[in-house]
Amino acid sequence: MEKINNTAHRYSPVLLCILVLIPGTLKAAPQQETVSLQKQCLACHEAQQIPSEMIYRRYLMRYSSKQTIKKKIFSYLQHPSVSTSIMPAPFFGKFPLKKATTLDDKRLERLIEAYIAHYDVDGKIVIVTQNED
Amino acid sequence: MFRSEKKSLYRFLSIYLLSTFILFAIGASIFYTLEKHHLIDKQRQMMTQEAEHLQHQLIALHKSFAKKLPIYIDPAYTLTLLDIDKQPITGSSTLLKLIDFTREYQSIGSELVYLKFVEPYYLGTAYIVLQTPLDQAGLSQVKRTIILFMLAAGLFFLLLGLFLGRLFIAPMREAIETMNRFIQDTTHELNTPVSTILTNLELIQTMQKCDAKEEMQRIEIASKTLSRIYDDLTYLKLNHAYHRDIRPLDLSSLLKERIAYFATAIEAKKLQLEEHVEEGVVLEMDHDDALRLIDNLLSNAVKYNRTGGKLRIELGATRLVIEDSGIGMDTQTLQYIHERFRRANSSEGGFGIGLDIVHQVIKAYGFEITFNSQPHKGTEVTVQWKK
Ligand code: HEC
Repeated sequence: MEKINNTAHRYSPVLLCILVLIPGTLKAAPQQETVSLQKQCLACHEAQQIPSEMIYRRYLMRYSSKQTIKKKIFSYLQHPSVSTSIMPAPFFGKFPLKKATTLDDKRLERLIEAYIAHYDVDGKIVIVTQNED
Repeated sequence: MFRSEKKSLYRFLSIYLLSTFILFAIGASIFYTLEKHHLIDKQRQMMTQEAEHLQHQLIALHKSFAKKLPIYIDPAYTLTLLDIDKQPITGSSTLLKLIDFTREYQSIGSELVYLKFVEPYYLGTAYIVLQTPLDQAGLSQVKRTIILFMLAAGLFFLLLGLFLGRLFIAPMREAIETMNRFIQDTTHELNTPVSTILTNLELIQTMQKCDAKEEMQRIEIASKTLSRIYDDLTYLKLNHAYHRDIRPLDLSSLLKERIAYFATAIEAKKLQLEEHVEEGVVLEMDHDDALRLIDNLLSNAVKYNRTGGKLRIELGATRLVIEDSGIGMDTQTLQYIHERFRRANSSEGGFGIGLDIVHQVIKAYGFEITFNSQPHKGTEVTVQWKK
């Protein structure tokens, strides 16, 4: 009995630290991602008034699959062209074609994931049960 | 109602009811399946409608950039939206792993699942999955209706069957009644001449006026046999089950009296009589029953004995044994007789009036009877009772 108690006492500060730190690190990561998403992508879009949310909906409607959307955006950002854009040609009368990205693949992929998470509808749709009248 | 008549009626009724029951059961199962399909169809139709409704909502919501995108659904259903990779967008059906994506409608366990593929993928939705419990209430309602109907129909057909059955056996009843009346009349007519013969024979014998003694003896035996057949017939006719007069009966003196009655026949066949009759054996019995039992056993033992044979009669406190040295019976016949005696309700005749009466008496008093026999050696019959 006493032995067990002793060991528990000895390790308790360490355990406490771990417990406190885990949620902190978990939370920190997505926050950082949001910050860089804002800086790397959204800032420019906002400045140029790109209707990103509407564009993302077009991706959703065309591909449905998150994996496919990710791939498509990835290749588009590397080689933007009017013909591969999700947007129709007249769109480019109002907005300039974007430049190919200079970011490395890893970072770009992370940013696209964050970009998708930012605009996705998964968390927004709520099912409301209601008797039909 | 006569026994055979009752039996025919039961047979008719059981065949009739069984066949109607089978017919109705088939009908009911067809009805049930149809009704079940109908119910499921109705549910499917409603699900299809609901899914249509949901699709319209998705189209409208696709253009909305509000923070929350509410989708309204009837509480009877559980909704899951899937993307083209079958990843849930919203909602999560527990049956997701079991769904066959090649089928529109399917029932999984007690759940009905409807899968609607939508294109283009508004809000990324490729599949609308609707799920609802199968309409158990409707099904049990159908079951209740069927059971009620079956009960009512069963009762109706039972009554109809009884009516038809009576109609059906009416001619048989008439035939049996005619036959019975005939037997009754004939036996009645027989009685007077037979007793006339017997009394006159006695008269002649007491007057010692006759020289043809042997011929006289034969006439006596024949008349007595006739008289006994008459008694057997009356016994059967009277159906003793309804009016037995049960009282303590001195079996010993009755047995002695009957042996004396058969004396002429025994003498004519030159039988060696071995008589061991214990005195004062008393049984609670109807006199007629005991008489017919003893008479029939004795008559058989005399009839089937060989001339100059042996006849052993033994009466103890718990049993009566009658043994002859006659033609005996082979194992097959023996088995047949045992079988007939064992089966409780098989008094339809078939082994002669005599054994039939023995059987009736044995059955009525719960006695036990055993036959021991060897062909050409003889037969030993033992009747045993509890004391
Ligand atoms: C320098 C400004 C700028 C930056 C930085 C930028 N974009 Fe864009 N982006 C644009 C413009 C302009 C368009 C519209 C024209 C077009 O589609 O090519 C656009 C369009 C898009 C589209 C629509 C593509 C299509 O099919 O038409 C996506 C997706 C997108 N950006 C994602 C991103 C992501 C992710 C980042 C961050 C890694 C990012 N952008 C960074 C300017 C920018």
